[in-house]
Amino acid sequence: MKVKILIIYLSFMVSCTGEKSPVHQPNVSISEEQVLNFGDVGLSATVYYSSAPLDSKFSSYLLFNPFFRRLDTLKVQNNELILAAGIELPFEGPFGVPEFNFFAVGNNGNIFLSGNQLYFTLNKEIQNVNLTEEISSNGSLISILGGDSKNKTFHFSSANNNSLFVIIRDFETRALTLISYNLLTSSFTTIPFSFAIEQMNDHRIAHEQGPMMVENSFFPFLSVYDSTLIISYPFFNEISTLSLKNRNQQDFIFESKFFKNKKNLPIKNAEPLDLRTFLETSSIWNSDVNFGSLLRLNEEFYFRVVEEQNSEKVYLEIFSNEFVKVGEYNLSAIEPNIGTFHLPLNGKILFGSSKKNTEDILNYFWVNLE
Amino acid sequence: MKKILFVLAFGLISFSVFPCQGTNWNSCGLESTHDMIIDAFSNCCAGNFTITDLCNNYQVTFVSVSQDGPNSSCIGG
Repeated sequence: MKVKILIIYLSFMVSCTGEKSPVHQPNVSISEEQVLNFGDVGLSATVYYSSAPLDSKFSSYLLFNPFFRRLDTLKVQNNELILAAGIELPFEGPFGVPEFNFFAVGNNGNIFLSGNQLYFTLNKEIQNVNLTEEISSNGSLISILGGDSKNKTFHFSSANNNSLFVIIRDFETRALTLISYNLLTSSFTTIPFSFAIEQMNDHRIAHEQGPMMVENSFFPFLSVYDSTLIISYPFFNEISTLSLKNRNQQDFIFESKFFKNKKNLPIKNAEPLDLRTFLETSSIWNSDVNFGSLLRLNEEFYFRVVEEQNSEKVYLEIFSNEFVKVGEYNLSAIEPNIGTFHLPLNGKILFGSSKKNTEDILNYFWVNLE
Repeated sequence: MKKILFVLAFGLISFSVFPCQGTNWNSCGLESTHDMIIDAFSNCCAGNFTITDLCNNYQVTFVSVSQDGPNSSCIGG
């Protein structure tokens, strides 16, 4: 693969501890723009799709194709990105899944999450768990949170683990709770965790009308890798980890030389907001700096994509397994057409292009760390 | 734009003919998002919905409706 530009020497390394990291500092390279024919399987390059890695090394993915309601396969073969049509996902019947936002590949089959329901395979049938019915003591609507709805990624279950992890919210109390659900015993467990409630309240924009609540995407992200839960937020730079071994929570603040530490607070002069004011206020808030969810690149690194929509800049932060920030990169300075959609794949990061020449062709780049 | 229009058209059809299909919809522009929210309130069963504005940098809006909409398939069920 021809490498266009490359080598950024790290001049900046900050961690919460202030100690120097023994982890090596990677250099970043970005490939020439590549193309993948999305039209062959009926996908559109203008829409993002929920996906789930098929293995712990992220060498291939299932990609939900909503146009044909299929789980297609995305993989690299002979240095070439390949997309193959999969099987249709039925709406109903023993393997029916009527709706979902995110999914994962579990030990006994795929696991699906909708707004407040789980679907998973047990005893050769799809099981359906309605969290409002199972958890709420007073019938208050329960919401499943934790996914990155913009990038359509949510790593809520580790390989070879029979549990999944989500954040739930009670509609009436608005309380957030981190929970796990054991797929074999059908049991919920509450995991103590201290969310950044004050900052979340500051960045919450809402329109409330009777039984309806409309909100911006201020909710925390959750990612699960091995025995570590990672919680982060779209509006500021804090990252928290929680060990499933000792339930120890650690909070990290990572400064940057490239982008702001947090979004500007939304202007909510005339609360309660009517729906149009809500949408306009949310739009301004969204156009500010935006922090993506934490994803794992390989056994050595995690990464986060940070976007400044106003300046059309895309940045990449790299963290070690111990959550030392070992590098940050202004990807737009290397490749001006780099987009915000991203997926770790085969040890590299696939980035969509901000150029969308045609709907049937996905233009993309490989970002490689060495 | 054909597939986006397909999604939008499907959404409009689903609101007018069927109960709400799915919990994850795409819109194009604030006006489109506005109309989807209004329709969800009236036509959907209680639940959580996510709207992604494809024409506004993939802006995501969360909609939670704690009661079945007056025109939903769940009402009186």
